[in-house]
Amino acid sequence: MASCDLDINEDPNYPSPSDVSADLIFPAIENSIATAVGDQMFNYAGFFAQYWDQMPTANQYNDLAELNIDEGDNLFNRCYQNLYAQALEDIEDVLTKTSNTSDVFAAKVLRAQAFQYVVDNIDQCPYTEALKGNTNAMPAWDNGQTVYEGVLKELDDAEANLKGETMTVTDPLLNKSVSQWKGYANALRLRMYMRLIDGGIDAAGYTAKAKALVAADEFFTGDVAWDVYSDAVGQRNPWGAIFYEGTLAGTKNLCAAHPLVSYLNATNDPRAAYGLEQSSKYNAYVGQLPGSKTLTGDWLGISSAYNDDYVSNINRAPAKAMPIYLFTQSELQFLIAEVEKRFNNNDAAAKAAYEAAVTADFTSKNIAGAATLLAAPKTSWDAQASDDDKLTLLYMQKWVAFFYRNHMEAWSEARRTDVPELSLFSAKAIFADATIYSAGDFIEPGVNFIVGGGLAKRVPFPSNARRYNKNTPAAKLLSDRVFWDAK
Amino acid sequence: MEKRLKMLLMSLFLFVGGAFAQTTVKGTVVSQEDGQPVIGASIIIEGTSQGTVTDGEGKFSITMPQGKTKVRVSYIGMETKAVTARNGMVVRLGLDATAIDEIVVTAMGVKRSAKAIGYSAASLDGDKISEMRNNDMMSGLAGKVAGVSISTTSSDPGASNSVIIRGISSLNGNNQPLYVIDGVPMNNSAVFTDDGLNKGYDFGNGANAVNPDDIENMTILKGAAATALYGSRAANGVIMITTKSGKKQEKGIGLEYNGGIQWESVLRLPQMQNDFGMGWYGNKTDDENGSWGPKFDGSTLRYGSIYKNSQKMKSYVPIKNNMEDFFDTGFRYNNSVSLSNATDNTTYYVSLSQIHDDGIIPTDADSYTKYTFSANASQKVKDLTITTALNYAYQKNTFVTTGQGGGSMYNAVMQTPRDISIAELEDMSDPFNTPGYYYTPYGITNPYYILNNYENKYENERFYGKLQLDYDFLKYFRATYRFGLDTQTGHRHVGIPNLEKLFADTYNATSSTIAGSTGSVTEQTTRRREINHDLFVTFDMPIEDFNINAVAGFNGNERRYSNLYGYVENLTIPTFYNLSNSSERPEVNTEDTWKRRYYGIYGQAEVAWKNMVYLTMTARNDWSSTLPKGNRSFFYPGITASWIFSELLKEKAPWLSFGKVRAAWGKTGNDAGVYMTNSVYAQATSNSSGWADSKFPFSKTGTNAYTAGNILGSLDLSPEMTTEFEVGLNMAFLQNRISFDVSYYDRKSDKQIFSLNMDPASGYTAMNTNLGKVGNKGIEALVTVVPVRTKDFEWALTWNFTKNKNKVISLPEELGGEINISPMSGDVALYIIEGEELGVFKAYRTKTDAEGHTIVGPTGTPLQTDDLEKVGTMNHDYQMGIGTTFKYKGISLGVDFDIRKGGLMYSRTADITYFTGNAMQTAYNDRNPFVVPNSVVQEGVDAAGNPVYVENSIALTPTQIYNYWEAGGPTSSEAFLVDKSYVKLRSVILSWDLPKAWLAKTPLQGAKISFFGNNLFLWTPSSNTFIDPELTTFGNDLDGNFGEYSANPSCRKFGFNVNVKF
Repeated sequence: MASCDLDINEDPNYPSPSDVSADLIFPAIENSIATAVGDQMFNYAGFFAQYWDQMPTANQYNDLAELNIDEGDNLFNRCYQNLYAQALEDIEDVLTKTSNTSDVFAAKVLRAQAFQYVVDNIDQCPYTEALKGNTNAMPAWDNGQTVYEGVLKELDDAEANLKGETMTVTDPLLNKSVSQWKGYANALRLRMYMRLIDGGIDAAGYTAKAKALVAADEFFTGDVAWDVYSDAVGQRNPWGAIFYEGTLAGTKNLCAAHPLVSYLNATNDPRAAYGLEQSSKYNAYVGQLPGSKTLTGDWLGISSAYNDDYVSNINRAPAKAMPIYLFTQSELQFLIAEVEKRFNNNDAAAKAAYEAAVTADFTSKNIAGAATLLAAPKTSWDAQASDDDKLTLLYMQKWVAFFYRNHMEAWSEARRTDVPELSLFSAKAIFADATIYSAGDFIEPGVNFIVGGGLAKRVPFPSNARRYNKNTPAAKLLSDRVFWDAK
Repeated sequence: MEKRLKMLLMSLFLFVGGAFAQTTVKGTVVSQEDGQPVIGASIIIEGTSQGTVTDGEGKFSITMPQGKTKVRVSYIGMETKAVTARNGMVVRLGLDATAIDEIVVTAMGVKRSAKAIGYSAASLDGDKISEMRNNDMMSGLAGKVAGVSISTTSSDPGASNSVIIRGISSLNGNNQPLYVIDGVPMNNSAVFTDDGLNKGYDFGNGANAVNPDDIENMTILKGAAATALYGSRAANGVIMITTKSGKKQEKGIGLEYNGGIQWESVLRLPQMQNDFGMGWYGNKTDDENGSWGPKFDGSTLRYGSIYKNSQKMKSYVPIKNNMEDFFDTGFRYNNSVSLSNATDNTTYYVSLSQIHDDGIIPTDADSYTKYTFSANASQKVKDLTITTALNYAYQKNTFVTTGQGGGSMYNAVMQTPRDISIAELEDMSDPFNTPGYYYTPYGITNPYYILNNYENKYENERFYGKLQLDYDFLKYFRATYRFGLDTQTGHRHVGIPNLEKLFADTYNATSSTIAGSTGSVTEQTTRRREINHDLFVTFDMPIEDFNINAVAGFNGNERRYSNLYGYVENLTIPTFYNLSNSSERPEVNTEDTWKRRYYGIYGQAEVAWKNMVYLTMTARNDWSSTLPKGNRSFFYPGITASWIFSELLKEKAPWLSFGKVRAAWGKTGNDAGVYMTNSVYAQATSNSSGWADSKFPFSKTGTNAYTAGNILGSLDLSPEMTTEFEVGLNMAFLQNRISFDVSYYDRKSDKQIFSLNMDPASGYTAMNTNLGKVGNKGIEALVTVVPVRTKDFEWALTWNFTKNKNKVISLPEELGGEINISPMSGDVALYIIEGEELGVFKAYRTKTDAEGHTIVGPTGTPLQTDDLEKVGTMNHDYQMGIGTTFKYKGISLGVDFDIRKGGLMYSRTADITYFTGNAMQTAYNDRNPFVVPNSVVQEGVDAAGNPVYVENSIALTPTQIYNYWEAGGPTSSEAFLVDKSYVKLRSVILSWDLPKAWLAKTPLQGAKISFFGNNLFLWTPSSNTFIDPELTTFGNDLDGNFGEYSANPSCRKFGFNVNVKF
């Protein structure tokens, strides 16, 4: 009844490797990158960008709200694994399976995107020795600048090699449009150039490159978005699904944070209706002071009666089938506006791009009233007193537009531009006297585990690198800046 | 057959008959126990070396020389009697109390006298196993066998037990022994959850299918030298079971019946505080799931949700026996009946058994039903014997889910404030007791609602058995072919109600308990099949002072597994648990099937000299499908020797009844798991937060995708190799009234096959490789003393002791010398660390400055250390069992204690009762504000950048008192690691064999009534106020040592049994 044949150790549960071609792998790369930025980073950067805070009566994200984070919290572990062992490893595999230059170029764009996220989070990371399997199980770590410049060069090389071929891989992200991939690559370059410039790395050179990109105007249309989700079990946006599936289903962990709500209120921004619910106690949008849930009750003199009614819940309904945004048209227009204003000194072009950026976000969120907002004194380009004010407005509006779209970029851009700026006053002082606070400013968490104060400037190294790679550099503090965050 | 052979052998060593014959005496030797004839008993005339042996009917005839009147009657495993010879005599031999001369079934079913073997083996009579009246055959042996650590992972009826022989050595987490039933390996896979955090269940391990009443004998082979013939799967020891076969009935019809009743009651619950009730942060609230309110004051309060403008009322007083009152009395009834008989050429044994057990949890949500049917028969045709053993087992369990998920009853019980009566929640017609109006919206609901509406069932049908042909040829040879089959189909069914739909417009509709809980159905069918072929030849021949015995054979084995899993959420009809009952499409996962084979050839040769010196050599070579082609073949030898030195001292030292030294050395190779040689492509899925997957295919775009697997296969894998050396000394004194058997062993498991984690920046998360070396050294001892032995009364004491010390000898450098093997991530982790014992617990400890002061943070609560730090190990320092039996005529009383010292385990019961403020510890300082004793706070840094600490004066507010205890109090998360030492009163058995005289005029051949109690009392160190340390929710092996995640409480069991024979 049993044969003696011992050649039966091929796993029948998986396809034969020869049957898995590049086109079957490519969408997996897009998915892995998208879920890193659209789920875990979306969540923690939502705290760091002070969009939201921990709901008073739940406890899931206390450590994020109070910045009580070290390597042991494994904040970046899964992202690190998704980006390296899934996305970047699959890119390596695709590059061995296709010689189509357009496919290769698209893969290189995604490679640059993946490394950008790694550097923006942890600065140093394996690059030159990475992805070599067990021939180099403990790759050396490179500094962030090497990685940024390395992937930008790879991108340029791949673009130079393009031979005008049609893409062969399946591509739900940009639908096999080589021009869209070029446009995405240019936008990515622009995003990274701005960080190198403000980081003081060859500012003149990268400024010239940024200007050239804006002048050439070869960017993508629409959004670069991973638009595959629908409102059904197992098909939902992974961050949105947390509210509807699994252990945390139904748990209200996120409430609005005071900086976002105060700015939306101060500017009468109708986008407050997107993603936020009104506090049932006040029938208004109310944000919690960051990291202050355990203190607010005492400040109010009601101790434990301070509960979820007092603050705005984050409404997750829009997230159920929401795409994951890798690059919004709005972000692109804000970057163009910044280049026009700062480097070309072209106020009219800057204004046009600024207004296009704000309008694009309103459209994306399906909210009416962009024109009204752009005409209102606090948010009108022309009503700003100085060029600095215009830039500040640009940055503030970009921060607002990133809400519920791309929190990782919101946090990175806030670190680059230092807008919103950090309030000089403590959460307690702001609670006691609202007039000392200017709406939208970041606020140090009421309970802040960063010794010496301040905000999160990076995430700790992944503990799975720490454990399995002795070349992992010495641990960094949450307050240590990444290379391009010069100040 | 075996007895006949032995008779033949023994007669060769005896000088039969005599030249000076005067009187011929005829007699019979029977067993005192059952009146059966003793075949092959030796009859020696005292003062001479003349004698004879009994025939197939226990009869003998001997001629007494002049002047000689006494004969000495002996038989292996029975007491030796000296009696006056007279014609027609009937000698009744009792069982030898010290059991030193017992027969041991060794590898391949070869029976040997225990005194001959050169390694440690424990042989247990079937009656010993069945007298405990457990549902399974192993759990009753806990604490009773030296060198074997047996524990029950859960008190839930039908749950798994864990059997670890001579310590854990495999890092892969398979350390359970190989079970061999009548020569055929049996699948012992346990059916337990892979998500112990959220949905814990344990439907028992495979060996539980055996009906304890069917067991004739169990032999536990411990060392590599003993088990090598069984091949690679025997690396963790072998439990060899011989089931009953038909015996010739001298009287009666061979019918035996056992029937009994058992009750169960809760054994251990966490100790709760009784000073504070519902509330949080020191304030009274209406709806909390914890006891952080103010001090009890007896006032009358409204609480909970609002239904039709009304609210419930309660007195603000503690309900001290709240949890005790919730649990009820478990009840079990069982029946088994067997019929057996034999003629000269035919034997048969047929049995039927039934068990129904409903545990201590209210309702029948914790139940176990088992039916077994066995038919063993043999037919002898000339030199050919045909034997069959056919067994069918059916089991059906329901299990109350453990863990932190919504369906965890015990999680809900432990989060009940001290002033809310759980027992009063039973009435489901009261709207306040439904989830819609339950008093708290915070993630838990009424435990009775869970018990009545959630389903978690398992059903298994199993068929196992053998067909065996034995052919005797050429006088000393026998050829055996054995075909073994073990096949089973298990089905798991889980149903969770759609609370969102059921309670749509209720008070709690938007709570985390109800919103998003749209119900689900899981159906899982698992099939396993194992086929085993054995073909071997045995040779047994005496040559003057020598006896030569040899075995050579072939073994081939194939195992298959397939698993089909279906899951759907969002139930249309809220409590109709069927995959079709949803607008969603069920998720079906057919991914899991595997098949593996191995074959091996083996040989064993044993030489015995003058029944005094024994030498055995074994060797086996295996070929396995799971290893890379070039490394498929592996060879492992063994050698054992024993010397019964008491044979030389017979005359000089009459006080020495028996003395033997033994030594053994052996190796056992082991193959890999299936499919570890190649990397694969898997359907792509990604998850960055740990909560929800982003998984292909996506229906919106119609996209499917594959991703290069993250585990690197290896074509360089080579077999694991375990090498073991053992020595032993076995002595008995004063007619076996005092005896001991002690062994020392040293085992090393090298080149373990493991999925080694990697830095994902390498492109992979793990690679399959051979790594690491683990050593286990230990001492096991069994001491037996019979202080009193008279005609009618006997008092015996036994003490067994096991001390095992394991050590991780080497791990690859890439790991930094350590591997995290925790089944969950969190504040507490279990590690394998080079140079340390296997299984080191790490936890966050409280941060201290150079002077040892506690460092507190901005809120006045202690800071945790930056990294996890070593706290202790998972291993017991030692375990021992103490047993005593009193026998008076047919009445016998046995009492056994199981003692284990040292070791830690994680307890979520501790964690959650700290969180809810129910644990007695949380009432510290009457919950008045206090400054953490002996604490400092960082003020800044000095010029060198070092922190500067000043005395802390931040008093903990009520809010921070909660935060303080929630984080583990003074010791941080270390507080959730509990000392797992214990002393258990494992069993008490009082039995009465009705005197034969009373039964003489009835059709009954024997009748016995017994009263038994298992796990009657538990003593633990004062620091463990939480749990029975035997419990685990992470399975029955290495992971199980992590501890428990809201395990249901353990129970004590007691009952009575009636045994009658016709």
